[in-house]
Amino acid sequence: MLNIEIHDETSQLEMVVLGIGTEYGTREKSINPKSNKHLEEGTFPLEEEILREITEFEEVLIKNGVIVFRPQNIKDLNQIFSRDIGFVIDDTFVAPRMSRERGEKEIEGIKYLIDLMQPSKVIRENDMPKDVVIEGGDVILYDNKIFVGKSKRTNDAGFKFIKQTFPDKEVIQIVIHASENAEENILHLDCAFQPIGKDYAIIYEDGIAEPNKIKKYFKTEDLISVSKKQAYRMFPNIFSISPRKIVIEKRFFELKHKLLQRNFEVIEVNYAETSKLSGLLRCSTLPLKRKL
Amino acid sequence: MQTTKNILLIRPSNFVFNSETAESNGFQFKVEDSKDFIQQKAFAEFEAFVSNLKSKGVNVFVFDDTKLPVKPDAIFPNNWITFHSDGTVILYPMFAHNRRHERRHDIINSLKRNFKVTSIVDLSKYEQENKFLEGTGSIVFDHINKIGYACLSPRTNKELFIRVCDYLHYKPVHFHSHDINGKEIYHTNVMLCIGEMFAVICLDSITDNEERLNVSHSLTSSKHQIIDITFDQMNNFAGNMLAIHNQNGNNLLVLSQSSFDCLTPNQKNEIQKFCELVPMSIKTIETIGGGSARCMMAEIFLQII
Repeated sequence: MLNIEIHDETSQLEMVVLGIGTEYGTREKSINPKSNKHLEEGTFPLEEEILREITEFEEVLIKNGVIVFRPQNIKDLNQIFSRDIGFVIDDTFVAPRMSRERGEKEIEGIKYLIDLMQPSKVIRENDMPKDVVIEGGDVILYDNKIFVGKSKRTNDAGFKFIKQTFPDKEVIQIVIHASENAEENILHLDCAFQPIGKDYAIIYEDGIAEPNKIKKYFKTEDLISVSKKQAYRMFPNIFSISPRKIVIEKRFFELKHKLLQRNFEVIEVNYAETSKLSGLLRCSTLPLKRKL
Repeated sequence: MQTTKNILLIRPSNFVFNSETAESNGFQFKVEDSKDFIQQKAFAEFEAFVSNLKSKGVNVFVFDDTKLPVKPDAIFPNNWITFHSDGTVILYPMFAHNRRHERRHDIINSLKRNFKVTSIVDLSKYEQENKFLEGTGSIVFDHINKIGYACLSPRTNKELFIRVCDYLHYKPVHFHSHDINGKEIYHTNVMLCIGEMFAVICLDSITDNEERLNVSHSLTSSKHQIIDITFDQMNNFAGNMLAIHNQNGNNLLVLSQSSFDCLTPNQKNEIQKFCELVPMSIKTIETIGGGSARCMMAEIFLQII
C-alpha cells in the first residue's frame, strides 16, 4: 500500500503529486476571472512556458529528496492544479466532488495512485452526500485544526462533511471573498492564507470575511500580511518543503525578504506564467506524505 | 538464518519492457500504456512496496537506478548480487547485455559503511564464455541446511551453479523445470520459494520424475513442509515470494497481490503457520518486467559493523 500521511502544511515533505501542463486544453476555455483577463489581454500563457515552469519546480522537489508523482495525462484537460482534486488528512485520502467548473475527470489522472492506497482510507465522491462540493485549495491543516474555505468552489455541505468525517479535529469555516473582478477575486482559501514554519502564516486579510477567525491562532508578529496587489500575484500560495524551506515565485522580492528575516530558507522558481491561470505553487501540489 | 531483515532495493529510473530478456522470460508482457505512464505506475508501485516493508519493520536499503545507461530491469537486483553471512559478496554473469550495467560497485561501497564485506567474488567474466548464472533468480538457497536449488536454463549454467555452491560449501540440487507449454522456466525463483520450515514449489513443473522426487525429498528431509502450487498459480507469481523477518524477529512472506489472490485459503493457512503474508500491489512491475516481489529484493546477510 502507498502509505500516506499529512498532518500539516509544513513538515518535511516526502511524497507529492505535482500537476502536469501537457495538453491542458484550448486557450478559449477559462474557468476563473484571472484566466479570462489574460485571455482578453492576449497574455494567456503558452503550454511550453507552463511546462518549463513546472519542470523547474519538479527539479527543486526531487533535488530536496521528495518523491514526485505526476498525473497520467488526459488530453485537453487542465491538470496543472492537482491541489484541488484531492487532499490527505492524517492517513485518509479524500477525493471530493469538485465544482462544476472543474468537473470529474481530473481524478482519473491519479487513479493509479489511489488504487495503491488502502481502500478503507480513501473517501470518494460516492461516499459523500450529493450536495458536497470541496476543492483542496480550500482545505488547510494547522495544529490539529482544519481550516475550510467557503468559496465558489467549496460549499457549506463540504465544510459539514469534513467536520463530520474528522471529528477529532477542530474544523473552522473561513468565508473568503469571491468576485468576478480578477483583481479582487480569491479563488480558494490558500490564495489568502497559508501557515509556514511552525507558528507563522502568510495572510491577506482583505480576502477573508472574518480574518480574526485565523489570526487568533497566531501571534501578531508571526503573521506576514500581504497587500491586495501581492495577493493578486498569489503571495500566500507558496509551498513548504519543510518547516524551514519554502519555495516561492522568483519575483516575490518583498516576501523573500520577510522570509529571510525570519530565518527561512527560500528557494526561488519561475512560476509567473502558471500564476496567470489563478494558481501557483501550493495549487500545483497534492502532498501525500509529510514526515511526522 | 534462512531469512534476513536487511533488504536491498533499486528505485527504477527507466522501467520498460526489456526485449533482451523477453525471449526467455515467458512472464513478460507488453501493455498499451505510454512509456511515461508505465514508468510512473512502476515508480508508484515501487514506493508503495518500500513503504510497506518499512511499515512492517524491515530495514530497507534503497538506491536510485542511474539514468544512463538505460537498465530496464534495474528494479530486480536479486539477479546481479548476493550478500552472504560470512562477508562474501558475489557478482553474477547475466544473459542480457543491458542488465550487465546493473552491477554497481558504488552500491557495494555504500553498503560497506554498515556491513562487513570480506570478499567480492566477481563471476561476470563468464559472460564472455556465454555462461550465465543470475543470482537468486537462478539459485534458491536453503541457508540453514546449506543447499542450493537451481532449475537449469539458458540463464542458469550448471557448471557455474555447482562452482558457486562449492565456494559457499552448499550442496547443489539441480533439475529442469518447464511451464505448461513446455517452455523452460527462466529462473528457479519463479517456481520455488524456501522459508525456514516450508517451501512453496510448483512440483508439476519438474517434468522428470526422478528429478521431481529428488527435489521433493531434499526439501522434506530438510524439514520443509511442501506447499505445492499449480501452473496457474506459478503464472501468477505464487512461487516468486521471499521469506524475510523484521526488526522484532517476526517472520514475513513478501508476495505480490496477484500471488496472494491466487493462493487457496488452505495454502494461506498453511503458510501463515510460519509467517505473516505481506501482499504488495505490483501488477505493472510483474506484467512488464516478468518478475515479482522476490525479484525486487536482494537479501543482505552480511554482518552489521
